[in-house]
Amino acid sequence: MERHLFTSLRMAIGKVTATEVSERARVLVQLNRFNKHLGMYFPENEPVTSYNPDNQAKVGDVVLIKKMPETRCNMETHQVEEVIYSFGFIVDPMTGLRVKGDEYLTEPVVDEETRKAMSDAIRSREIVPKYSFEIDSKDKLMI
Amino acid sequence: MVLLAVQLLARRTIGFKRATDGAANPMRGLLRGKNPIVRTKQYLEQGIMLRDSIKIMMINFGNYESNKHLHDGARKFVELNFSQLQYKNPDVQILCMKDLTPTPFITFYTDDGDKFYIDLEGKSQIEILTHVQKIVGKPKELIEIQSKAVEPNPANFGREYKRKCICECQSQVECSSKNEVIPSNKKKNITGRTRNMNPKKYPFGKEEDD
Repeated sequence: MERHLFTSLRMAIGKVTATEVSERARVLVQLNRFNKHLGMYFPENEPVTSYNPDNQAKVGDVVLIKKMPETRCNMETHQVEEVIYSFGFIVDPMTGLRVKGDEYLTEPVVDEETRKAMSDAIRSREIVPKYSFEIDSKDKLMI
Repeated sequence: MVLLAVQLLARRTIGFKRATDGAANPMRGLLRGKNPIVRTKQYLEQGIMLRDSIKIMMINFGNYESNKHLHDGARKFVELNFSQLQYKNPDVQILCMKDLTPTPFITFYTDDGDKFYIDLEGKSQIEILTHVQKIVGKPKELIEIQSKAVEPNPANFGREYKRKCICECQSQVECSSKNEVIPSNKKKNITGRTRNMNPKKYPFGKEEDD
């Protein structure tokens, strides 16, 4: 399908596939196309580059996207509004409990204090990559 | 020679096997598939029209072994009514998320930023349809008002309107496709065959009898 149908959407839901550059996410959006000879709908996917403030979305999340009034950095047309289902921590909105396969978990696996401490310890050791036009081929060995 | 050609043709067609032959397929010559009625135009135009403020519709259901009977209604709803909804609402993004949560439900996202859910656990297909039409469907009166408001300009003419050509309008020249472009009494001068090739024999011109 044509790309202008995806970039002109005001609201959409998609799945995050890549976060190579800081504050930018590549989101996959699915729309259905009608085949008039068969009378059926077939799905088609297209990625949309979007602005990811504070790096709140990670790879594998299901995310809501809204259109920005101006394009940012000449590439980002949409903005990530909220994360619906985060990867590895799915919460059922009808009951409010965490989901594990067929069943619900009533008690949390790890306390909230230890969970926050674990994520804080890793964040200091993260490497922040540069923008794609700043990376030189010679610096690959360093990263 | 004709008989030989007919025999050759008959021999070639005997070797091919037709897929629609046999007692296993009594409905020979009709549409193929599990539910072929879903692909007809008459069925697709009987779908539910959603209100203008809704932009996204997300259906959550699953194919689990433990609680299969709870998802029966949702599975049938997607099998038979998904293409109807998308045909009547081409601007809405309709998604299906499979095997995420043990209970089925639908979420709707509106233009203002609100969202709400509909529970589908243990319901049959028809109960779901009446529930969706009641909450989210467009009423009949709104559809009639919106379809009546747009009327074509009676002054237009063309392929889609009543008057096909400008020749049908008042005070216009007759149709040039029907009448002759060159009248028949002036055709002789155009062909050039009235030129007198032998003026010594026929000094006063050639008549039709000569």
